[in-house]
Amino acid sequence: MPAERRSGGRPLRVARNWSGSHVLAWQVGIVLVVIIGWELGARADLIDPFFWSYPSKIFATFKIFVAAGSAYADTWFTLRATILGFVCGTLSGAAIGLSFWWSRNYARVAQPFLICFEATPKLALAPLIVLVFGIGLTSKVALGIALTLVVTTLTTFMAVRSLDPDSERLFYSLGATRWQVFCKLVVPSVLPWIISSLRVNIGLALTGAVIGEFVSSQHGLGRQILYAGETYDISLIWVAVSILASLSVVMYLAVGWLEKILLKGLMHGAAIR
Amino acid sequence: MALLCGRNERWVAREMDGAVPKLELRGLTHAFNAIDGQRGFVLENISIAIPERKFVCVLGPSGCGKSTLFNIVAGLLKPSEGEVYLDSAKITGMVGCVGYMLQKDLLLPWRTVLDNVILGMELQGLPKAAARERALPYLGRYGLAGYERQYPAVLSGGMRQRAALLRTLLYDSQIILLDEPFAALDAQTRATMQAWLLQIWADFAKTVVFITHDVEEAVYLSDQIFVMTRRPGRLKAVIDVPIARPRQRDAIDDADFVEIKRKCLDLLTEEGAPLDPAPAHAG
Repeated sequence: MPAERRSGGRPLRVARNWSGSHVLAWQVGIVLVVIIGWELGARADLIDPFFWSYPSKIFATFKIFVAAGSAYADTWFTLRATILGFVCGTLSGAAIGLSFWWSRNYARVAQPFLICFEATPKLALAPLIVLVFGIGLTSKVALGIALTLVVTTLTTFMAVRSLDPDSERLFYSLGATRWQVFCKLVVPSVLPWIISSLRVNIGLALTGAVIGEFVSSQHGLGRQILYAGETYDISLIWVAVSILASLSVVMYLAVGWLEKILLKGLMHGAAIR
Repeated sequence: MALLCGRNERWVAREMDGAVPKLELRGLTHAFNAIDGQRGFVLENISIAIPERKFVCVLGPSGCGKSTLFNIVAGLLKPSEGEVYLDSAKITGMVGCVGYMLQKDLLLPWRTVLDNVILGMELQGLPKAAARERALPYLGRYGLAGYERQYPAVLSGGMRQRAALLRTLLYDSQIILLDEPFAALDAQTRATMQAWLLQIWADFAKTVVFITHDVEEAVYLSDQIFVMTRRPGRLKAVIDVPIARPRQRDAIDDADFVEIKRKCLDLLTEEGAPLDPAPAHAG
């Protein structure tokens, strides 16, 4: 028996999902349109080629930069600073965050300092950090640490605070020592939070490295960008920025992969061998 | 025995006639300093003696301090007054003397079911391999066969509670405290779990203290029911349940059963429960 149609009713419109290749075609199309439009616009003088350069010239500069310039050395320098800053900042941030579990009073004393440091624009400290740590790799790593440390500490601290007190109670009722609770409950519970901060941290560490190179450096992609800007070599700026962007994407993907492996390992690490 | 007074004395005295009780609470009082400077009482002068290998229930309206009582017995909370004795030895404020299980199963998601079950043994310092070997047959026998190497995420609510209970049982203590372990389960699973619990209790021969606010559950499971008043929690009555074991599910229709159940309900209704909505501080 057909149900009576209520007044005001209307069929729900559901958009159909595009296939993967359809979406990809659109993405490639947009990139092509931007590049071709840029090239043509610059040649027709609609875009000032002095300030904006154009794709074919940028590509030529890229070839020179790779063949005759310091592309590898600069990329390696920036990459190294980023990874060191990322690893040191994340690990020490996680360690500090975890340490708050041990004493509520210590955590309460530390909290305002933490928030202060979080609120401070760390990049404003860049000139000071370069003065203290010199113009070499150390100052870039230090900036990366300054950017990632507090974020990780706060994330870990939040994770520690969101622990289920009943779980802790269960552990103690089973006769666990504090160290056992820490190793077998606190660390595994907090790990997913720390892992979730990895993606943000890799970007922050890269920013730290580049800013450090801006302030003063002899190597690095950031230093190339600064140098190119001072000499009005717009193409070189684009080249260095493109390499930075690619580096960032690669590292982001790598961290995403690491995250997946870690989370999986976390769930299956306790499996019986 | 100076701490005992009033009507509680009667119950204790009666229990003391027989053997030395397995677990004994003497004059437990728990109070906190409320914001207005007054002392707020959660528990007032609870004295209970529980013989070995008995299954007893603590029945009371929500918010009567049942869980506080358990936290004290488990040593997680120090009472304002009174002592807890296990085999006549004082265990007030000492953890690790009794097994403890909550309504939440608290299984660790990163450990397999087997590794969750051995947690207690592992914390006692038993090597993992030995603990697993010991636990494995129990998992098979008590309805978790085939799930030993799975993670808790794939278990149903009932199975999670089984795993949690096995974790408590395999922890080598002679007393098990169960704090509304089946309250979150649906009625059917709950009935299955109750029968399962009775079987496992018979097998393990442990002393069980079970908290519930479900009268039928209390009567079906226990040898003795301690009825509590609403907050501040005091002992209101002790009711014996002389129904023969092993109990079948249809025992709930017996005249004895119905009579005991009615008595408990009357006592609870005097306390304004279970008709009243639960207060903010749930039991």
